[in-house]
Amino acid sequence: MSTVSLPEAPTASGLRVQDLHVRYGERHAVQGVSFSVAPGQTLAIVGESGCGKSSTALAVARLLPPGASIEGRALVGDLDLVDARGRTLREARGRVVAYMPQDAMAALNPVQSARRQIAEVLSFRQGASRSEAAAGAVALLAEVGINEPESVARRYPHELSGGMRQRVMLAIALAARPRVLIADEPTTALDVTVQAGILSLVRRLTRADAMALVWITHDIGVVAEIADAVAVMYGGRIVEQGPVETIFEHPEHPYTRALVHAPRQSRDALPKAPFQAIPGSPPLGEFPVGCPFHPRCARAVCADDAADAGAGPGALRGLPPAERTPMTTGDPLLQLTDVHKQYRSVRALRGVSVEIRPGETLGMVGESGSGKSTVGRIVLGLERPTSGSLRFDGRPYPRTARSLRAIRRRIGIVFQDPYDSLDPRFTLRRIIDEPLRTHGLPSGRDRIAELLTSVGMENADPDSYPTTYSGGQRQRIGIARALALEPDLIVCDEPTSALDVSVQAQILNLLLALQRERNLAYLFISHDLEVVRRMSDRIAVIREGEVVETGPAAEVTSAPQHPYTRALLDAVPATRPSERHVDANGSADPVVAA
Amino acid sequence: MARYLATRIGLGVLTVFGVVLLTFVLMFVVPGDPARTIAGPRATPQILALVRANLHLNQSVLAQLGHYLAGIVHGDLGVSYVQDQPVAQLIIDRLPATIELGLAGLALELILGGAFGVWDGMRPRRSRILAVVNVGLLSVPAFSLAFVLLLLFGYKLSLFPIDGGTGGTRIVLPALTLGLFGMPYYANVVRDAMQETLAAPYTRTAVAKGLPRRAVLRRHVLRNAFSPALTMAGLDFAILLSGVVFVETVFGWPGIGQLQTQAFYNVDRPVLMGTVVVAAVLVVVATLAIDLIRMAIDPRTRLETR
Repeated sequence: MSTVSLPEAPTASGLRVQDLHVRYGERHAVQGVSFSVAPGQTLAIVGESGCGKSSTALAVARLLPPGASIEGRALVGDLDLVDARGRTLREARGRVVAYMPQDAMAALNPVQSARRQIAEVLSFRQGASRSEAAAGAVALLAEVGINEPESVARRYPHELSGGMRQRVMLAIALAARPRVLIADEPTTALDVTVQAGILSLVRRLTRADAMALVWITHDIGVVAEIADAVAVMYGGRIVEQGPVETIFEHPEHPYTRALVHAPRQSRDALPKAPFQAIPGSPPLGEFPVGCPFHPRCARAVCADDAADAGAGPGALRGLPPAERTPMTTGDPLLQLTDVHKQYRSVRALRGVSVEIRPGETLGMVGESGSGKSTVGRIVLGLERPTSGSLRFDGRPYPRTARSLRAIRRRIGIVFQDPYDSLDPRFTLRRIIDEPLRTHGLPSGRDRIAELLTSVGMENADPDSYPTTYSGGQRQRIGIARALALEPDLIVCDEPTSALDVSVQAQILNLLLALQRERNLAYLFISHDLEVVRRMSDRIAVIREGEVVETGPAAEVTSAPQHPYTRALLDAVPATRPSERHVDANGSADPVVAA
Repeated sequence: MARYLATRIGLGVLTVFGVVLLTFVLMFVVPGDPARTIAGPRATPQILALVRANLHLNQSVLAQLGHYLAGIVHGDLGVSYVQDQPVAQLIIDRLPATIELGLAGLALELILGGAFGVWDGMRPRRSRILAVVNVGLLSVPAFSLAFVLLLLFGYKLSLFPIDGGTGGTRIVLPALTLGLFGMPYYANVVRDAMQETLAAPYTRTAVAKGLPRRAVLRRHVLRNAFSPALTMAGLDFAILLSGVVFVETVFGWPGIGQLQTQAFYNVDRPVLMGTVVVAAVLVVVATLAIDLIRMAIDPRTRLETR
């Protein structure tokens, strides 16, 4: 374990941020943030969307878009990054402060090879010759743990895997040997096994170089893995900061407590038991006066405000403990037997056999590219399997699109991204009405109101547009649409991955409550093993188009049979720093390389 | 790659065949009797019958199509009814002038539109100058633009010869007309692409590397910003190659467009057919060329041959 004291940064390097403000026109996104990070130390800034963590990161890296204004100080030695202009600023970039973004695919130039993008830092910033820079780029790729650096150097971003792209970004960030590295959620889009590798790599390299590391994340598990110190941001302010042990073991602020305790309580909870949720959703734009968390805080004197935004059946804190739905034994509702799917030369599914009984949840867990979403599309009848049999309610799927409609009426879908899956030009009424109309079913004012009520949106105006709602509320609207046809089965494809942590629990609770009320069956697709464990009666672990393990949720997660299931379980981030996989020197348990 | 090329060429041949078929049918819908055109209004029925027999006009449409297709394969596009010369020869005589004007016009469009687009794209707010110039150019009909240039630079200032024909500085005014005519479209496309590219995360990465501003622009912004303009240029080039009637007419530029217009008025079927077939071939070749250039510039469009 590293010894940790909240660093005062006595040395010349290290980062001290004092009273930092960021404004986008009228919007005051960061309201006086102060923190410091010593060389070789890692500060994690954790918070939800709109809390100001990314604005803080971009402000310190001086990469805010035009139109944003910064105040305050960000000192590295004697240099104030906030004040730096022109040549001073350009010299500071990459050498004093480097930045690692979330989406490496977008952050790499699509028309240039990895080598060229790394080498230009060396040639422009260190005056390296063409051949020196090219060799340096390969050396840097080796340093960030890429196995065949010469071959990878020649490739273009679209030819690299997600993990490799993020390693290339790291090589670019480290190329000029910066004193401070700002990492803005660089592992969020990665699979857990790949994330673990990047976490330990960054930690090892920043330590070895005595670099100050600021790691921005929404994932408290990542904080537990990597941080020496933690700053919790909410509503544009740091609501609590301190050494990682203190934050995890003795959190003071109610929001920090909720964040830190949720995953631990989750680990102890039985499958299908309700989640601990914070009601409401994080503020966007206008921040409340006083403690920004007070509208959602159970300890606040007037907690009533919390009830408005997205409260509802699923958001209730005191849900009765789940009655274990007895394992349904009836005939399967959905039955896939030896289903194969081939896209040109890619074998997406290689003999998947699963079944779902009425009222049951089958959790399908796998990493990106495992074929889990293909299963979802095949079940929905959007794609036809190359071979294998598909039965719904005892009857095989019909071949013609027209007769498929009868099945589609009984299968609903909840999409991953509530921002993309609702047409911004449709009113809520039209969104929910559309499936009813398509299938020639009676609808009307009462039916829409009833559906909105069932998802906890009884106060929503049916004539309003989805853009006026938060992510969690939009997902509720999406669920109402899925319920409109009273389906027997709902395919949930990563229904909470695009949502904030505190909102995820509300949506999952809503899904659990709806299942109990309506005896719904779910095909719950996710990359998150913990969420799948909590939501499912049975779990199917899928890898490279094959189901490697199936069984009751509790058994699969407590006594995994297949090594891949074990690897997935091991890669789930710790819930407290004392259990971290990444040790002080950054070397980690063996993990699947990117 | 070889397989890709073979497929593309095969599709190209099919496209040209389709175009031939369509225009052939259209030719028979057009009123007028070619035999009468050739033989003159006072020809006797015997002479008319002889002309028809010579041109296979007395055969069925299908047989005529067969003759025509067989001719194309041998590079024979028939003989002009009016000029009494092989159509292929007429077109080949005029092709260099058309290609020259097409390339010059395209270059000016790209340079003018590109320069304006880059300049405007780098400004935080849209420039009024460009907006006015754009609206002005878009609202002036192309032929009046040609006349204004002709009167101002050719007649009043006598900067360029206006005697028709090619050679020397005679290309400046017709090319400038094409360039100014196409400029607003390119300016808009490049401008939007510039704004998008400047705001792209990879440009932010380039800035974060501490590269000089000029290197950021040259190495990361421009290449990506010109990609959509290139696609547009490919289609444009194909259109320009098939002849631009109004410019050729106003400036007396002896290109394919002019040939086509004359043939149209004379109901000179073989020449009309020939220009359409050549245009189709050129469009197919130009789009293939543009796709190959795109592959060279943007690795994402390359085939998975690794």
